[in-house]
Amino acid sequence: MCAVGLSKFSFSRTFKAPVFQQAMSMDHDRALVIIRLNGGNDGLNTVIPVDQYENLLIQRPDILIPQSDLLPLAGYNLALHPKMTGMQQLFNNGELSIIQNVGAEAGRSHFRATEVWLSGIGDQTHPESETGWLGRVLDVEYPGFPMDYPNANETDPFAITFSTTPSGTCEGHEGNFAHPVLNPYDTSNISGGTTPGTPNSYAADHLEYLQFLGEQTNEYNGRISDAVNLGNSLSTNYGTDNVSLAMQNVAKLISGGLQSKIYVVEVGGFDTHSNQVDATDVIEGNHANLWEKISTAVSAFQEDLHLLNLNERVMGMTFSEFGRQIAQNGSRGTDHGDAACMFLFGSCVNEQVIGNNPIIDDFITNANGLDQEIDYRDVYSTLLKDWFGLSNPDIEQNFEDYGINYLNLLDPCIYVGTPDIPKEQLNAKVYPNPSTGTSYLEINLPEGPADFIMVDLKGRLIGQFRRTIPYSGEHHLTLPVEQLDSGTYFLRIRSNDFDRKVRFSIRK
Amino acid sequence: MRSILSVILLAIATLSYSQTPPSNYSMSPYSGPWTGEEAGHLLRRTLFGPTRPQILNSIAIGMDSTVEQLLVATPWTDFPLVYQDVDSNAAIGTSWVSATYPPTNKGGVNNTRLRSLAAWKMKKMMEETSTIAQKMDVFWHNHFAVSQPSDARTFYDYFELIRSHTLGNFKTLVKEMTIQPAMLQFLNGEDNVSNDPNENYSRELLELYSIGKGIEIATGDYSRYTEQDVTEGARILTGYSNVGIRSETIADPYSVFDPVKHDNTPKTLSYHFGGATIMPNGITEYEDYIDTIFAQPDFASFICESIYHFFVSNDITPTVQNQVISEMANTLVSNNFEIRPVMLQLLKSQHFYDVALRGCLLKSPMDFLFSIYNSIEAQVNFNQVSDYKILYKIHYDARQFGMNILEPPSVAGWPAYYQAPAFSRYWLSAVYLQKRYAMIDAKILGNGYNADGNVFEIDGVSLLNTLTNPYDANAVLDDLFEIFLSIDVSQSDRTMLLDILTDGLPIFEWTVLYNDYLLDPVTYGVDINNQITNTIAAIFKLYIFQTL
Repeated sequence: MCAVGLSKFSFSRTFKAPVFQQAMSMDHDRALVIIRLNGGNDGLNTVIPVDQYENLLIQRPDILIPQSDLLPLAGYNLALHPKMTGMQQLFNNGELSIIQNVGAEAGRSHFRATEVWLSGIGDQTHPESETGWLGRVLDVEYPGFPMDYPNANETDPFAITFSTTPSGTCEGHEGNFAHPVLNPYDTSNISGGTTPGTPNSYAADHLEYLQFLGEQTNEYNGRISDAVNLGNSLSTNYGTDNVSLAMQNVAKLISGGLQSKIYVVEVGGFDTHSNQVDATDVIEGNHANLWEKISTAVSAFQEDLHLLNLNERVMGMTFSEFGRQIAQNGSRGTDHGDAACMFLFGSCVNEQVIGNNPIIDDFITNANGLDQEIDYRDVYSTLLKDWFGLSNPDIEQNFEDYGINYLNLLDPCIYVGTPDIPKEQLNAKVYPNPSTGTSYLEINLPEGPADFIMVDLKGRLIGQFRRTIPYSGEHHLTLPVEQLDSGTYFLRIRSNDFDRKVRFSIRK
Repeated sequence: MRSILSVILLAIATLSYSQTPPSNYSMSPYSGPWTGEEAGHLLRRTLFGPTRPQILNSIAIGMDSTVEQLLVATPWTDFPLVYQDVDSNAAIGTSWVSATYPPTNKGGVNNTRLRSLAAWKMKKMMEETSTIAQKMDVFWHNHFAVSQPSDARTFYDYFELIRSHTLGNFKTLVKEMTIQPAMLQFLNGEDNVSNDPNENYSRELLELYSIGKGIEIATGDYSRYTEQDVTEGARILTGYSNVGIRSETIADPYSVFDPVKHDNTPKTLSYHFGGATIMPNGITEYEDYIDTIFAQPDFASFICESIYHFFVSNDITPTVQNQVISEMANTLVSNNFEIRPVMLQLLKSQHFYDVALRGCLLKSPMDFLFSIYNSIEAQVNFNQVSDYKILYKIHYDARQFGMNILEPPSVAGWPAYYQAPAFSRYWLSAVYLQKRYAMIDAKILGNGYNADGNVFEIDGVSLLNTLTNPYDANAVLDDLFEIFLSIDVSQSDRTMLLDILTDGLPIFEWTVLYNDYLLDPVTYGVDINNQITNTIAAIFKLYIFQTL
């Protein structure tokens, strides 16, 4: 199903697909480890604002940990849960950042809030809301995924999830960029025949997917197996639970040469409506156990990275779909709330604490959660910019022109890649977006020839054309997209001097 | 400087990447051809693996009679039995569902009871193979996705409650489920008291169990209800708790209403319910609330979408919404929320038999496992203890594939049934696909499920002997495809399977081998069993076997 009817516009054989072969970034060896806290982490029982302790005692008399048991964070009116000694050490070493009161204003449903945190788009009706915030980035960088991958240039999975299913953060338009692995030492081969099904049927679509998944699985598993066997782990301080096991495997895979950019570790059990703390000892309980595991795993992992001399290549982040309510409920637990803290860990973190301590009232307002101070997309965007080296327009586009407030998260090692073409100056956007009929491209172009190339999500060429721009300045160009099916497309505008990709959607 | 430069930038080729959608959206009764394809489709969607006799019978009696016979759910007449020697209050071979807990090791006892329950659920899957009841039960278990409670007896009661209404009245089911002990524990209803409300059940009652969550149109406003309704609903639901959990004296736990713990003030619902006030009404106040929820005009579409996702297709297009879901919703409301008329209409509809929907779902772990074992009428039948051990291992495989019947992954159930855009593809991630293959290697090609020296494995020769023409290798394949596959196999896969069946020899050698086997089963039984088993295993590994 290749583009037809292009003959009268064909002009050059230099624009054969793949048209985005010069990926702009992420071709470096940095990795991001994401720990997802599934169920809604009680931020107030993780990082405790000790200047609010008196009022916290009013709000949560049965579950609040005695102040003397908390782990103080020097220089701040904050303390960690007593089980988080490993992360306290990281904090003291300047390798842990706390970002306070991060929220997504996504409501208190696990499922909806999770979708928002995974997608980075709050509007449920937006066509991009079913994709992941990292999946969209990878889609721009690696068009044609999944069908053209792995290939000779990209042999490794772009992301690894330590779970049975791939993480929604990496959901692209056509496939998920994450390859799920339970045990990298134990993988097997798939071969399920070649029956294609009736062309264009739902079943044929599934079969194409399965056949592809089988082949991709075999190839990715081969790389994972090689890497984990080549790799190393030098820390002896990991725990024996699944969180430690997964983090240790990340260290081994990276040290074994796997080029995956994203690793997602899933930790469940944070929906602590009841028995969040033990009846007899508030320091113990379900929530305590979870953070003990994570703190141990993260601190051992960080030690491992130092020993392996990989510490400047890896950043870590935790997130959860929401925090919990300020006041306890009647079951030694807490109900769904709003904002909560996030952690960043790694040698490249900058400030130890970002954001202010929440203000806790001295009276209980039913069902109150913490107010949002920092938008979750600001954290995501800053990582994309400073860690992965994406340009501002690309990041803004990734979050649908949300007005990003970049944070000062990792000053020591901001990514400096090959000097980018100044995309900002082009100021390109397609409007209206999504469009139901005619679409326009607004762009600031220099005088001279410019090439316009449109592809679909599978990297297939829809059309291409060269125009000589008569004068420098802002131009508004009509995109004749009336005949396109509903879907997402990329328009690339380039010349010798610039190169810009714009994503847009058609909704009919 | 600003100008409009209108140019034709791109030549557009009209490309169509989307799958061909169904062409028939009519909910009127289907009256087209009734062959193995249509009958197979109906039976695959309503049973966990039809047998060849079932398909042939359906062809003979026609669609109407098949659907009528499928839409039956009878109460259970047996109970899960103890099979591990841990429970001092219930001996091996007896039922534990009304047995008190011993004073010590209550947790250990509960675990053995839960394991027995899981094994017994597998047993029922393999016994109740002629009606939709098992599949409806899984639908409701996914809908009210309760996870293992601390008292296994309440979990058995939960499943029994589902079965008693599985084709019955949805409103009644929601009401009874609201105060069911396992549910009261699972979503903290038992902790929900007037001076300290717990919102957990109240939220899911609206979001997942009844009216469903719509798009958030304003902060805290989910199109059909608001946060106000969650908060007020929690107050309405206050006052219920459980009696007899893990009790040493009470044989059957039950829920009770305590007026002192109930919030005895009026509650005001949002504009979605016309600002209705639920007046204090004690023990039945929650029923007034549920009546109010069910009376909302837009009530029925959510549950009908769930039914459609589970039984028909993941793709609810605007056309499906307008023509199919709306008809189902009308049927549900006009029949006072009875489920059977909705299923009757759906399974007889022209839309259901649209050829575009053939194979459009991927098999759940239960569909995968029992489309192997039920389709060849395999029965685990050694002795009770060994049977339960084997059945528990089958449960464990389903769990490895992502479907732990004791523990749905979240309160919303299994993502394959609700999470766009992947839906049923959740069942077949790279990890799950490897696990299905590993199971085929270990249990079909390997040594089967083993307990106490009793081996539960596929009997390929028995299956072969039931086929139309076992002498003819091609006819054998045709029959196997009809039993196991929802869509036609490609020529290359057929050639590959023929090669396995004939062990690479010319096709007439199969006929010779089958003749030899009939004359001398002892000598030739091994070869013929290997070849037919290898062939079946290869079919189970085909990607098309994963479609439903």
